[in-house]
Amino acid sequence: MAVPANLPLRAAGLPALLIAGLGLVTLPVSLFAPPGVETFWTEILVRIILVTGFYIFIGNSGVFAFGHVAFACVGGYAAAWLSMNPMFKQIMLTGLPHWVQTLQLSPWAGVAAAAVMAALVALVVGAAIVRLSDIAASIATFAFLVVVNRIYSNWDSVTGGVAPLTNIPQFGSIWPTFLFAALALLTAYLFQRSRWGLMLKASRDDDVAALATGISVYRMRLAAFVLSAAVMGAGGAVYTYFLGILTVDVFYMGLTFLMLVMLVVGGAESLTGVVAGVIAVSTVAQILRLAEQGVQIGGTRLALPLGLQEITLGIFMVLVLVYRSDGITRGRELPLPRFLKANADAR
Amino acid sequence: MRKPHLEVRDLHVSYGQIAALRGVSLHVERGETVCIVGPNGAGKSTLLAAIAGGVAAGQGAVLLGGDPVAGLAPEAIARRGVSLVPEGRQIFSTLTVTENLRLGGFLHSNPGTARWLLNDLMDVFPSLKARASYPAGRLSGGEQQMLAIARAIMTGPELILIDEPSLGLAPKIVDQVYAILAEIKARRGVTLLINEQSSTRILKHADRIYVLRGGQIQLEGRAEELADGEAIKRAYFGFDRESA
Amino acid sequence: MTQFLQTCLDAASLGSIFALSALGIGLLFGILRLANVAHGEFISTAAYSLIVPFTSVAAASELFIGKWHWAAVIPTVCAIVVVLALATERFVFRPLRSASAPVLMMASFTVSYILQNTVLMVYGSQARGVNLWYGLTQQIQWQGLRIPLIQIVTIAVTAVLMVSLSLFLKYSRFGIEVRAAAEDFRMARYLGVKANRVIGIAFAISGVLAAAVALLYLPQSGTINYAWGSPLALYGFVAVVVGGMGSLPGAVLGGFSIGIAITMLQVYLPPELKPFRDAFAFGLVIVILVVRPNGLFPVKHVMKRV
Repeated sequence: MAVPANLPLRAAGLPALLIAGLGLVTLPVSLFAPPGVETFWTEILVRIILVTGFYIFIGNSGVFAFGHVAFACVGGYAAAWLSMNPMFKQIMLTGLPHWVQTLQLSPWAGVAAAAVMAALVALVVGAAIVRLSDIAASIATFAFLVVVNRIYSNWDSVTGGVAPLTNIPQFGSIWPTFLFAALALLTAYLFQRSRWGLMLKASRDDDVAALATGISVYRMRLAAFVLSAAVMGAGGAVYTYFLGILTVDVFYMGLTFLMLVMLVVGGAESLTGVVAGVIAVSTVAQILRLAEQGVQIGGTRLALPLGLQEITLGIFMVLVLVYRSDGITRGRELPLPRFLKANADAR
Repeated sequence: MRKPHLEVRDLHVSYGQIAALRGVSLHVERGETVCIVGPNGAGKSTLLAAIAGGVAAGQGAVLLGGDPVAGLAPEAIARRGVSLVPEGRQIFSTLTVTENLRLGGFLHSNPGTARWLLNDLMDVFPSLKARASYPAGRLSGGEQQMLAIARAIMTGPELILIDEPSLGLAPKIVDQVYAILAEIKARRGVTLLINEQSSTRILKHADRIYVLRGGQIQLEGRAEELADGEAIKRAYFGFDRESA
Repeated sequence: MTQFLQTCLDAASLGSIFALSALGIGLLFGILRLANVAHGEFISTAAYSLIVPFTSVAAASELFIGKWHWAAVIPTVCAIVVVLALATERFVFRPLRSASAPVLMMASFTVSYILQNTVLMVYGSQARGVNLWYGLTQQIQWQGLRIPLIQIVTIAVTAVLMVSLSLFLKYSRFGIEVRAAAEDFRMARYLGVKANRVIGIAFAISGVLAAAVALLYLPQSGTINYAWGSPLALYGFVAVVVGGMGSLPGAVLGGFSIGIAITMLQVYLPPELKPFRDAFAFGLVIVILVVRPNGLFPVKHVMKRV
């Protein structure tokens, strides 16, 4: 495989296409769409960041990690600690160090700090976890998710426990979220085209061949783990700034499941799959949610019973796992148009 | 014309990208002892596993007495009188010797048959009888091989597939294994299909021999015709092709 | 001293619950390499089957099956969970028989999500008070100890279940087939062991164990909500990992160890650390997976399984 690793930007045709596509939707949404639609699309962009975070580790290493939402939780709280109104922090979060209590950073700085903090946590945890293989790794990451959730729900003086944190500034526009989604896609792409990314993908099929290249699978996996955690952390922060409010149970089993559904439905082995999965699943979920609210026909209201949305999503997931386990993209990337192919290193 | 006991036609098996069998055809007549000889990685184990239903065939047919069986579950093929003694024995090490044997006998609809077989086998294998209630993992390698063969016989097979019975055993023990196989054959009239890496010993025991290399049959012949070993050696190492 | 005995009793009773939960999970893991996250929902379903569906919240919910005589309640609840377990096997795990272990775990996560939301839809999200077998919650005075009857019952029932399960596994035809399949599924099939039947039996046993956990724990907890079974299953998981994945005696030992550890932490942990009890337990899982991947009580043959 000839890889222009030294010329990453020239090979950036794929993310350019994905980002341009997302931008083409974001532009009219920001200008004309009613608030409901804008919220829906912003949520899709946030989810793209988070699912990309999952993808960087799972898609490249082939190890099914169930605990990445924990890093989003770490990132979300980092954002709240740094950007919340200091007055409220001094009342609610008495356990925070004084300099944090008085701080009020902009959301931009908050996202960056969240990414760094999640990466640091991932470095420590990952050093132990990425050694494990297969099912042991899946269970360990799952346990990590529980540990983080238990700590953040009970460390009242620092996290406010299960009570929601409010007075967190919001972006006020859809564009910062779009920017971070674009950045996440680009990061994921550059990593998977890098020497380490390629070798990690190769190691998934053949451990021996990877060992022969002289780079330890352990270090490549750890790199992917830390990078994906940073993206998750940033995603958690963006999510928090999007909602303006933070509760710990947002970042638990429910979100984990939703993210994994999107990843599997889209196809866990391609970046195009990430985007396709998020959009497809979000749209289906939105339609079901509207159906739950019901339609007014004459004097009666026709509505689906509450909870059917989740059940349908679950059944959908089972069908994908059974009949199309490589997702709707079948693990392939978007075919590039000819003018981009000329200088892109297409798969 | 009588149909062969086992017939394999143009069998292809691959693991992902790697092709293990590339169009293997062979036949085994009722009551024959046929041996497949080939180097490591030739696809011998895959061939036996595919016949027994353990790996899926990509293409081709496996016929038992003329009936196609490819695609059936291993337990269904076992019910049609095929029993596999896999490479490395694969005895259940936490189960006792008796439990290993009883497990093989469960597919008889009449429990009496299984009990009778068990007693009969304990007489053929006195070393197993002496250790009947030991966990099978504590047996020696030779005893484990005997147990694996006895367990296969418990299913009441007409065709026994044996994958490298001499693997990892001392020559003296291998002699015992083959003596037992000969005795079983004399008593029960079963058909045997045996994989071996080396042909020296098998020439004495087999009726016919196939040489398998690179997932394809390179040579077929009656044991007495190949007795000098020269043709086998050429097919085994592939000199034949390159010089031709 | 009295205090210590009381704590020991608590530990044994909690350990029993965890051991039963761990057995249900460990059995499926041993045979299928399935880390069944949905076991918690099997437990929840057993509990919810006792109360009337589609009713709005009442502080103490009206009992449905739970009103019946205990000799009818137990088999009915077991049957409900067994049917549920067999249905998930038939429609989800059987089509995925050749899938990798993480995909199976993902699928069980999905089953758990579907079942949890079904409970939400049918019974609502509020906690329900359930007065099952009120008589069992009374206490016996003995030598200065106050022993809740339910603890004695829990320990006794667990002991009976474990003895009968091990007799079943040791001597019955199905038991031998299940143990063989747990050690080497493919070889068992070469010998004519029917995969569907063995797996079906394992799921059924797992369902009975989940029902037992629910019926024994419900009188102690008194209220249920839609996620009621999850922590019980999560602790079962911890126990399975502690005991060495795939080993059934290990799962039981693991269950009791976790029960003891949790009870002791609850009693002896400084108050400010008590809320983090669960975090310690799950942190322990990670440490054990990294340091002793075969569990604290390794059994030789399971070494290769993880």
